[in-house]
Amino acid sequence: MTALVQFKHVTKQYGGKKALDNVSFTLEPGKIYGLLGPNGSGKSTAIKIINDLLKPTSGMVLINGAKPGVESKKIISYLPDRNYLNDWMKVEDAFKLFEDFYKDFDRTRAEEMLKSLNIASDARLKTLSKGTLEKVQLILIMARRAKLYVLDEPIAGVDPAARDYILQTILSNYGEDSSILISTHLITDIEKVLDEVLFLQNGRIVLSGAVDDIRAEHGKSIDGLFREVFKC
Amino acid sequence: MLAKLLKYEIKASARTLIPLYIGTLIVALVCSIQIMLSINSSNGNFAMAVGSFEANNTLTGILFLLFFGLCVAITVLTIMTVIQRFNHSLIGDEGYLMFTLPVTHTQLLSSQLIAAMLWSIIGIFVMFLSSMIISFSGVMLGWDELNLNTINWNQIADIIQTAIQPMLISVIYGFFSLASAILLVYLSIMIAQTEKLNNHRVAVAVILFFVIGWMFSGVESILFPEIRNIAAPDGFHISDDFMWAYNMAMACQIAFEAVKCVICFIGTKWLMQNKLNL
Repeated sequence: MTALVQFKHVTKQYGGKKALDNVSFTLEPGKIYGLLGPNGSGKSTAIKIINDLLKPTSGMVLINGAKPGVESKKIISYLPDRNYLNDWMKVEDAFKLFEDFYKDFDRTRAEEMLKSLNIASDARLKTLSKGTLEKVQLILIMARRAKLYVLDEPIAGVDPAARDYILQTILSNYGEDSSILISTHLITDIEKVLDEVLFLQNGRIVLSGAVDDIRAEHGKSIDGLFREVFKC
Repeated sequence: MLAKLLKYEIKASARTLIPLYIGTLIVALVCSIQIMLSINSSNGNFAMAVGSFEANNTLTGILFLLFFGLCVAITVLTIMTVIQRFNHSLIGDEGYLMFTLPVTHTQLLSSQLIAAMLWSIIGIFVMFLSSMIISFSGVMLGWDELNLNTINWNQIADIIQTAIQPMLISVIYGFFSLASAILLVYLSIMIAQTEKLNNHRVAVAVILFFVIGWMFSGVESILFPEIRNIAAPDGFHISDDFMWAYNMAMACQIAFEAVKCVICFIGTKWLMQNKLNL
């Protein structure tokens, strides 16, 4: 089976600084990956490269066996760490936009999620709170039948009560052949759903592997290990 | 996909520009009605009508000021909207959505350009139409004295026939000039957002717009004498060959504007593909 994402010796340089330094990893279908690391470790750069928002300085990136481009965008559902919707829109306009551009967008599924989160479909985006806006974006992303979901800090802006619901939404809405890549600082909340983790530090992968193996090897939770590895 | 992109791009700008266009047309109509009421109150006497504006119709003056203010607003807001839409939707936070849609960079850039061209043309048309509405009251002023039998319709037809071709060529030239100006704005913004220049994005974009524009003008001034020589070796003067010379010169100018469009489009697209810095 073709790997969903392959990074082969990828380096991304900004001026003299290396945001990613000779990074190689593979994401397989059917798993949930955690991309963990402190600020400035290169997480966002890696995510932007996967989504074709940045070109690597050197190395090769393959998405489902091909270079990032129009085809890869059809199979990746990407949630950035900011509001990327135009504020003139209502929630239903955003649904229509996704329906227009993504063949895999499931409108019924989106409306179900919207209903369970008590968000009105005719609400204007500019009237929504930051947390509600994040939920709307998460609904849009998870209502797609994508092969890869890339979620950049998906629970950072919402209250703890909503986090469990969101994690549940993520888990119940991705197919068996799909994978999820989650970048987050809130490891405690997310640890229980992860299959594998990639620890990034100064643009390099310092630790990677299956969560259960790492826990067994180090005798610590992923959160505990993160605090130890990235101790200030 | 281009049509879909265009639909959302037009929707995003329509909320600002459509009310402004409607407002301008309404003010022009009210101005026109106000002038006609003044004419009626002075029994069609032009001197009395003018006196009537000056003495009694402060309202007319205010309406005219408002009308010209709205025309200025249309120009400024259309330019601002074109710049702001490109800035927000491609290199602002919205870029995270636009650049992850399954569309090509050519489609993204084309949708921006077509929408900007469309709004600019509609803006020009609205200002033209508003002027026509106001002028209509002037026509009404002398309508009673107008004797249609004294008009030499053949002469008017000749003038139109002679003018139509250069007018058409001028419109095509205007179209390409508008496109090249918009694409030059896009190119300047895209260069300014690159990693090394990003800290002073706005200032750099403005400077680049003038510097690149100046460079194009330099090339044009080198080429133009040659174009003029080809078109009219003895210099421009009204002669039998004048129209041919004019058409040739304009054709060369149109070609030059088209080349500018291609350079700016390819440059902007390359920067979007390779040097995007979201």
